[in-house]
Amino acid sequence: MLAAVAATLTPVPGATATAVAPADRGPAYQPALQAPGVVTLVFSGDISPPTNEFKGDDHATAELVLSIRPNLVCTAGDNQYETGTAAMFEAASGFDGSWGKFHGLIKCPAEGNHDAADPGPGSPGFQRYFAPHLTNLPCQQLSPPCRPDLGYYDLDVPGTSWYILVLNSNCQRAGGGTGDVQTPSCASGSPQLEWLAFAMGRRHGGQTSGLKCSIAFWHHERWGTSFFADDPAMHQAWLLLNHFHNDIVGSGHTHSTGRLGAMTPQGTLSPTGSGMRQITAGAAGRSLTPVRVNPPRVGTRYRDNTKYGVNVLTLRSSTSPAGWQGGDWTSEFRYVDGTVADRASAGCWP
Amino acid sequence: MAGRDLRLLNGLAILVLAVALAAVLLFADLGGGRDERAQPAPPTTAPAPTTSLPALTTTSTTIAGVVSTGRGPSAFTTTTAPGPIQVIVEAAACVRFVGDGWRVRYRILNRGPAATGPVVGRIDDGQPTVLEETLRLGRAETHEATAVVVGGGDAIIVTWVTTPDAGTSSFPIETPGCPTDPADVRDAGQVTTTLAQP
Repeated sequence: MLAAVAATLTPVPGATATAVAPADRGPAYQPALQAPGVVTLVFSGDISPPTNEFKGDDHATAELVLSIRPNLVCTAGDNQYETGTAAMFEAASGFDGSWGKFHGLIKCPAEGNHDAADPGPGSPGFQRYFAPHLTNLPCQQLSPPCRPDLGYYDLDVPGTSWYILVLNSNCQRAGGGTGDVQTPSCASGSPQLEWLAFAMGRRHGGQTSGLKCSIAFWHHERWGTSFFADDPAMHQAWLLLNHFHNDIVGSGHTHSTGRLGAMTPQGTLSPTGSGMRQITAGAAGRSLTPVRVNPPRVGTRYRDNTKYGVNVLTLRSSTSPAGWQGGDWTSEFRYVDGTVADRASAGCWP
Repeated sequence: MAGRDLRLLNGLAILVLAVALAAVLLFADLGGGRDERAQPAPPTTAPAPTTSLPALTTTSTTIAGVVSTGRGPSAFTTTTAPGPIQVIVEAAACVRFVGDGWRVRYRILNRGPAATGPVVGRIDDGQPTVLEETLRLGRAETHEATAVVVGGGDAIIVTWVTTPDAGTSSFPIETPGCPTDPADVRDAGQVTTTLAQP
């Protein structure tokens, strides 16, 4: 099963595609034809409503994802509402009934506060459901190790110069009936941040070496774009990623979509145009939330809270004459009503 | 004869030049247009139009003072919005379990002319719940009530749909988290048929 899943991540040589199973069961699946070194990644968070609510919007976004035929799917947390128990994840009326159709493609799931709201330490329901993708990762063999069991890990995207980092932004907090204080700390010097520094440092290299293209996923937006305010709990992670010139941070939490331009760690637009972009995709099915952040925060390039959809990233690789591995990306939002919005692209931050 | 031929030649040359110039201008225009169409728009620099949830109302009201917003980062500084009508959600508590909705206490102040209309509540983009069929408030009157807004989600908005105006909405507040119905957990487990056990 894992071999079949890995095949979906490999760019298809000579623009041919190999049929694989998107789920750990189910019909054969052919990712869209791509040139070598190019990968299509779909991501969103805030996906499956509680199993006693039958809205169906997560089913619509699941069909949308399948129509895009991506190579890889990541999630930005809150995969299963309201308290992501294993039973809810695995129910036909839960995540498995909608986005579970391509369970095998979801190699980089992030934990949200509703996943962490499952009784017990951490996110046991989330961990159980995604266990095939969260065990025996190469980063677990390194020192310091990643901890997919705590929601932070990384993976290289095979056949490309891109790598993905997944962080746990629950940060030992609980509010109301959601969250979990037994989640990893996000403070400077915490094991999660120490690992993040190691993971970025070992790949990014210098002026003549290294991999320059990376994406980080976590649940809570660092910069609130629509319903929630800024989240200072992820400030240290943002600082560290900015230091190593990470390219994109993908988040959810607000049930809307949005994109910021290149940002400084202080939350302003970068005057040089170099900086990390925050892309928010939290409209995968749970609901759509109203706008509270008005006027739009500085750096806002786009936002929408009227439609269900996902973000589609096309990741391309290239080799610099200087010796490092770079590339570029294109982002766009695709919605269940067939519309495509906010097509944007940029080169990787060397 | 020679002079006439020369004038004819000059005229012919001018005509050829004019045709050539027209052709250059024509093709330059077409070429420029084609190139422009072929150029992808510079997407990272052009802000796209900002859109938002279709409003039930034409004006909105922010909450006066800080209201507990339940979970998550909540650093909004809110003040009373301009306008004769204020709709304020003062508290929200779970009815029972997730999906059952929230019991909402709200207050409506009317500093304008007398107005009449229903009061509705809404969770995120769910269907509005009619909280009061008809509310009439005269000038300087205040109304307080508690009612159940049905649904599940993150945000509660209460709207007084006055006429002839569309109405006035409260500032959205975060819903407090609610416990999961044990029966729902049990039912969810019963329909598990597909996932291999890790």
